Amino acid sequence: MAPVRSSTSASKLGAVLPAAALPLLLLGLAAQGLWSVEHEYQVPWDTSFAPDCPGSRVVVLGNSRAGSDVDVNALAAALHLPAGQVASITVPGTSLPTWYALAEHVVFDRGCAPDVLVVYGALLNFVTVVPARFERENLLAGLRGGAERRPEDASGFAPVWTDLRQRAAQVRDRALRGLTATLAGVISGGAGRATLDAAFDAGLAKASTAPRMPRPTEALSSEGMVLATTADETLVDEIVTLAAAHGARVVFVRGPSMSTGSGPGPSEGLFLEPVMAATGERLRRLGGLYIESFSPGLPAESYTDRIHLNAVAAAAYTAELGRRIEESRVLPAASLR
Amino acid sequence: MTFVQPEFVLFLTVTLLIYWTLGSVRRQNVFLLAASAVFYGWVHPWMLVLLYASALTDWAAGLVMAQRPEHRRLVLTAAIGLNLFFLFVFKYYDFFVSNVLSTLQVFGMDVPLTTLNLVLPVGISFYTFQSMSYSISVYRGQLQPRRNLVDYMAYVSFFPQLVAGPIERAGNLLGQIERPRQLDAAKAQGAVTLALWGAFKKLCIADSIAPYVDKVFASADPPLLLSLAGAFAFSVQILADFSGYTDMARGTARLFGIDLMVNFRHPYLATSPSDFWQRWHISLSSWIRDYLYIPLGGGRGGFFRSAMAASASLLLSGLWHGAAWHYVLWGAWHAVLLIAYRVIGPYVPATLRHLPGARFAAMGLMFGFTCVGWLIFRQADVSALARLVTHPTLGAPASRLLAGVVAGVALVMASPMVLAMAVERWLVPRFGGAPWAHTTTWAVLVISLFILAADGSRAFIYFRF
Repeated sequence: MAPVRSSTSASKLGAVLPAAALPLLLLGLAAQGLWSVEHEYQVPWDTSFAPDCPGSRVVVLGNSRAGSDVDVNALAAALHLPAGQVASITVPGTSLPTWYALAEHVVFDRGCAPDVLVVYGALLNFVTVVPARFERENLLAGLRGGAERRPEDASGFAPVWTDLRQRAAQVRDRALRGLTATLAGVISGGAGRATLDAAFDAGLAKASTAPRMPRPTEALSSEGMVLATTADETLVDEIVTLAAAHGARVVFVRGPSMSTGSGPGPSEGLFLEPVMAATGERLRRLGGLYIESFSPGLPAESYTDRIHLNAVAAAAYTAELGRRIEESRVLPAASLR
Repeated sequence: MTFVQPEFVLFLTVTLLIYWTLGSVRRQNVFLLAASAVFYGWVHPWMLVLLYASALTDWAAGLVMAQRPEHRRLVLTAAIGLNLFFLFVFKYYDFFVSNVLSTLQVFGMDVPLTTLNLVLPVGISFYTFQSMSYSISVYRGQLQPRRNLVDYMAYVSFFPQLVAGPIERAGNLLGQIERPRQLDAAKAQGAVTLALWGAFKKLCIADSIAPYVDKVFASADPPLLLSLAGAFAFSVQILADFSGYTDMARGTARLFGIDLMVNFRHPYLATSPSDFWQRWHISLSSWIRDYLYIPLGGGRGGFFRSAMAASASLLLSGLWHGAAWHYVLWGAWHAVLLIAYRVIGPYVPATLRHLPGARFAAMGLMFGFTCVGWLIFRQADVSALARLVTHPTLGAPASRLLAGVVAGVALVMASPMVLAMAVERWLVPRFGGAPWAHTTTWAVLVISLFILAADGSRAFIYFRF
């Protein structure tokens, strides 16, 4: 009997070993490959709610993108303001409800008196009415004077996971960009990428997405957030009223996206585009300014990762942003030198 | 909750662990009912009210039909009427009202009608049809009415297929719900492979193509070539998205010992419209065939009657997808195709049919027609569609380049699905039973998902229906 039993054990082992070893080998190779992908990525975490705006004429509110994309020195220069009169109060991972709270409790309640609030974000940030649970908890902690809790603090593995996901995202983006560029090059005989960008940008410059968007029918909201489906559901009225009560005007800036080479960057919930457009219009009617710089998008080289502008791009973008704000005359003339 | 959210993995793991320790079918069904309620009511618990109301309507109708057989036609009519009323209110009322108002305004009439702007409960089109199939089957004597409410509700609300199908018939799913289930290692392996493959199709293929398709159809009046390229890319996207979801649903169900029906059988290999509808969204097309097309006469009663039955069925199929005219147009397009093939088919010489490559030519032709249908389906602006027909343009060189790129990206993204067909045909029969084949496939799919899945997955296309 013994030889039969040992051959049965051997055959089982022969089945189990490759079933375990092969996938482990593949996973190991993939992890090593990902780890070798170079990236420069630094999201500045602003853990402080301390105000930085006494004496500022312009305060920028937003999340990490506002922190990276809006260069306060470049903005001050573009607005012909002395250095130090543009302040930035940004909290990563937040949206308009948090920014409203920052405006009320950090800016105005602590004695800052800016002439203009520049609120900088993406579409989803502006149409968020109730933020996701994590943001709500951090907001409440911040308002109570507690320490902000970072997602990485929750688990020792989280930073590694996040880092691997960032690298994986770079691989994906490079693969898609490479595929698009290769196809364009093959089809057009070399002139592809710039022609593609120009064609898509031109086409979308004429586009009006509003009539095409279906009425929001999705019954599920994402990650616990509640999103506005009409402009009057957003917090635009609230923040304008708050600012006006303190003698300030509001500028909403929808930041640029990353152009993938086949057109502007990831679609930001196309069915919410009409809400964004209506919100911008509502802001204009209330005496504010809406600057739409999402489309046609900036090339990938402008970004440190897929989301945040690098310093060079931020300076150039902010200079243009400042020029548009100055032209609009939303800043009182007495503030301009 | 959706299949591609991290919390679903935790939910599924906990549910399976509890489910397989419960022992008896009765306890398992009670637990399935509760788990399905958690899954469906995760964000909007009120949607459960409508689901249960619809299910109870048909369950009660089945019992009443058994007790009062002389009134079964009336009872069935009432049950179907109530179900369709729910569907009409939540899905079609605003469409109906806005069209009535537009028509009346043409005649200068102003009627005080307003739209309701109700949120569309996810899956309402699916579970309504599934629930109605039960009472219809009881009416026809194909099924005995069930007294066990728990088993019946577990059948209607079975969460793997609740929100986007397959639309299961009571004969298949309810029977499995009522019987003891088994799960062995081979079945579990196949289930996990199927679910991971579905996730790959959805997150890596469909979601990668989506931005290209979105950009094409977000442009103002894309030229014909670009539109067709966008339609081709959309054909890959919607197949990957919907069949991906179905595979996830079937894989998940299999882990509970339940086999859901196959919903897709390589639809783009169809050689004719009728062949296409036996391969695409099979659960819906068979539902419409059995409960609408055949009762209207089906293939009997002459050409005209058959054409009317086919047209009504396909128009309804279009309307089922959404309350908008372009969906109806899509259904009408397929009706025209079906009738045209029936008219022209008999005149195609047999010598032509048997030429080498004739089958591939037929597939290519049908796929082309299908892409035209997808263009109608995806381009929500009917006036833009009309302009494509009345003023077709190839577009500027840059636009033609874009069309090439979009089509090229779609071809590359479709290649894993083509490869899968080859694997299914040649490798699975040889290695399909080997554990290493499954675990290696899992590793490849997990790595692919980790790298290729975009952050923030898009909503499943068919969740809108």
